[in-house]
This record gives sequence, C-alpha cells and structure tokens, in this order.
Amino acid sequence: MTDAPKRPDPLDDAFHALKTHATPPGDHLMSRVLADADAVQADFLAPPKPVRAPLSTRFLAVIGGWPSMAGLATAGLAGVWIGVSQPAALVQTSEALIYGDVSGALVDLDPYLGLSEPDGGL
Amino acid sequence: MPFDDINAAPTEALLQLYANGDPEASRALTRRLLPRVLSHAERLLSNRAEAEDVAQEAMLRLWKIAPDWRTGEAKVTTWLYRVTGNLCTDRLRRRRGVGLDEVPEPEDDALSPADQMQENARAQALQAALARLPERQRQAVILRHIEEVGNPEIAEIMNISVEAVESLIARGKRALTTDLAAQRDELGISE
Repeated sequence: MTDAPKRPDPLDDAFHALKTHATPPGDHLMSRVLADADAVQADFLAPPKPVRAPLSTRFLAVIGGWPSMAGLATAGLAGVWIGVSQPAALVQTSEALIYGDVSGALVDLDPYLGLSEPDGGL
Repeated sequence: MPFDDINAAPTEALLQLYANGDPEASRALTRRLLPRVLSHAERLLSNRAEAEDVAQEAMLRLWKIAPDWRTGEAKVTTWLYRVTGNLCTDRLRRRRGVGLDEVPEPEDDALSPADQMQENARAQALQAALARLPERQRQAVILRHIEEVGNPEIAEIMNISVEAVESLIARGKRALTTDLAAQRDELGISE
C-alpha cells in the first residue's frame, strides 16, 4: 500500500514568487550599515578615556594621602582646643607681652667677672 | 583573514572577529545578514523605506552587542529576526490608525515579460494579503514560508511554544487562501 500523493500547497507558487521578488539592499543602505559598523567598532576598540578624579581625591593626593590628613586634622583640633581653653601660662605671657606689665631687675654683668686673679692683677 | 575564508566562516565566528577589530568581518556579516533582515522587514511592513530604516537599526544593535555576544547561547540569525520583528511591531503600532488602503502597494515593474508579470502579480497579491493578516500570524507565516525558518526557531524568535507557532501558521495560511481565492485564476494559483 502506498501513501496518497501529498496535495500541493495552493499558496506555494505565491510564496515562491514573493521569495524571488525580494529586492537586494541598495548601495546607499549598505554604506549606511557599514558606516555604523565602523563607528561602533572604533568606539569599543578605542582606549578608555582617563577619568578625572574628583576634587577631594586630588586634594588628598597633594597633601600626601590620609595619614597627612590625620595629622592636619589633629593640628586643627589642637588649635581649636588651645583657643577655647586658654592655658593660664599662655594667658599670662600674652598679657605681659601686650600690656607691658613686666617686672624685672637690670643687672650689669662685669665681663671680667670671675676672670680676675685673687691678688687683684690680671 | 583571506576573503574566501572570511566568507565561509560561521556567522558567530565573524561576529567574534568583528568584536576583535577585524575590519573585513563587518563587510562579510553585512553581505550575509542585511539582505535577510531587509527582506523580512519589508515583508512585515510592506514599505521599503521603513524596512531599510528597520534593517539599519537591527544591524546597528548587532554591532553594539558584538563584544558581549556569548557564543552558543543563541543563533545570530534568530536574535536578528527577533530584533527585526520587534522593531517592525513598534512601527506598526505607531502606524495604527492608518487605513489598509493607505498601506503602499509593492512597486510594479511595468516592463517585465509576461511570465515575469504573473510572478510579480502573485508576489504583490500575496504581499497585500499578508499586510491584511493579524501581525503575529503574518510574522509566523513569513518566517516559515518566506525565510524558511524551522518551527522551533520561530518559537524562539517569537517567544511562544511550537504548538502556538503551528496554530498561527495554519490560521494565517487559511486566511491567505481565502483572501487570494478571488484572484486565483488571474494569478495562476492552483486549487
């Protein structure tokens, strides 16, 4: 027993016609597509652009990094603390310098003191 | 790579060459893929100018994805048909509201010999009938019968099951047969 012959698809001729009717891409479209291809390829083959570091990072680099930043912060805090607490010795010294309230004795020192002979001669 | 070798290379390998900077790879890929992408878009949209824009956009997306392409995960042609289909769907949605009468007819070649004229007439009638099909049926019929893509690959392209593809194609062909019945004798289409 043989299979009945397969009925031809009534649309086959039309599909075949449409397939052969395809118009190939024109030169203009080919050029547009190839220009896109070249541009995209150049883009991902280009070396990455150097990224400019933010201002804070550049400042840290100038002063020597975080250890220097820690020193700078300590010095700053110490300055603030001195300004606020005003140690007594510092206040006296600064007041004396500003108001001239300095008491002391003038002593003439003999340049030969201690060099003279016990018998009084040089 | 020599010209003959590059034309014989598999599409995935060409894409890898393109990603690695080979300037000839894009030429070979364009020669191989652009006619298929353009033809598919033209069948879906029934408009040459729009199809050219879609084809250029689909190829641009291929160039951009090349460095990240993972060989073995999908076929380049499957991916391209899917992108082309999605781009055409976007265009058709934007076109919504334009009546079927306003959809341009394919160009006519008035100087063809008689047999060529009948071939052209068949092609034009089928293209017009395809344009009247629902979008998903049209895409499935075109992929199966014009692009000659297998049902499992169509299922992957359209992101549906193989059974759904078969159903879309069967309904699409029934609608086309009915649509073209009136012109059967004129177009020389067999019963």
